[in-house]
Amino acid sequence: MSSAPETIRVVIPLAVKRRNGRPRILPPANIEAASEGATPDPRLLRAIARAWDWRRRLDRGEAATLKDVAVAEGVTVPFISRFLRLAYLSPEVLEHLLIHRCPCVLSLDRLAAAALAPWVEQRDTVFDE
Amino acid sequence: MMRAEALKQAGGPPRPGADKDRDATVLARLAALKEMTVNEMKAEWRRLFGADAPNNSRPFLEMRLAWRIQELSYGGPSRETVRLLDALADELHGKPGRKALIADPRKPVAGTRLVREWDGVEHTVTVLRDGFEFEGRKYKSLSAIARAITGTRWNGWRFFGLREIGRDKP
Repeated sequence: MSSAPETIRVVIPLAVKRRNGRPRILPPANIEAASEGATPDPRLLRAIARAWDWRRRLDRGEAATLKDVAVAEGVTVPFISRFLRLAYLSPEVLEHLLIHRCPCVLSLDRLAAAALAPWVEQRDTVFDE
Repeated sequence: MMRAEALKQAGGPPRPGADKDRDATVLARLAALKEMTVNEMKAEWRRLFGADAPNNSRPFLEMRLAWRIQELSYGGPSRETVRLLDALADELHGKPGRKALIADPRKPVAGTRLVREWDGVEHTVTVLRDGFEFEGRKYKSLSAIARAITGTRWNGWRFFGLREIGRDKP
């Protein structure tokens, strides 16, 4: 036993959490806070922006039916009707996602489904912690 | 008591979950919506929007009436939220505001170093929150950096081997 042990063991407690509907490995909160500010998932922003765009077009009367929107976008009507719901999330949830950039724990599909719930219930479904 | 009421009025309608009575009323109205026929919904639409219903689709009318009922009780999105949503939607149509709001999904986390060997020399680029840094200068695109290195036009993502990341769209 002449030489000292050469390996140093560093233990960082990592947690597996759902972020944007996917399990992610995350460092503890104090390390997370020290890193760069959270950026919202680009996929989530894009999906909500698309839904809002469709909603605006319907509200302005540029498109009368979901079929018009689907044809213009080159997607199917069920696709539009499912993801249009993202534009009808409660204002509180939209604000938390877009402005405060709270990480959403649901997948896009489940987030769209959550939009149909009464506003009182939405916040607890979409964010945990 | 009177003062508390007045303060509540001044702060606008309560948020969902803040006022039990209001929540109960809203939930009852949402439940009633589910029982309505399409014709009753269209009448409700005329009452709430002051215009004719745009179509006869039950799920469509139900979702938007439910939203309207809650908007009238709790208030709609803040001006800030609406402005951001409009800006994001405009960006999709290639009408960018001052700065892109939706990050490119291919872009790695800020602080990442991209190393590319070219002509036997290693070039290092640092990813910033709103661009890239290369040899002390700030660049908006990787293509510009690739051009600075090689002298020819390259797709920057491809030059730095990021082409295949984040391909899947929602």
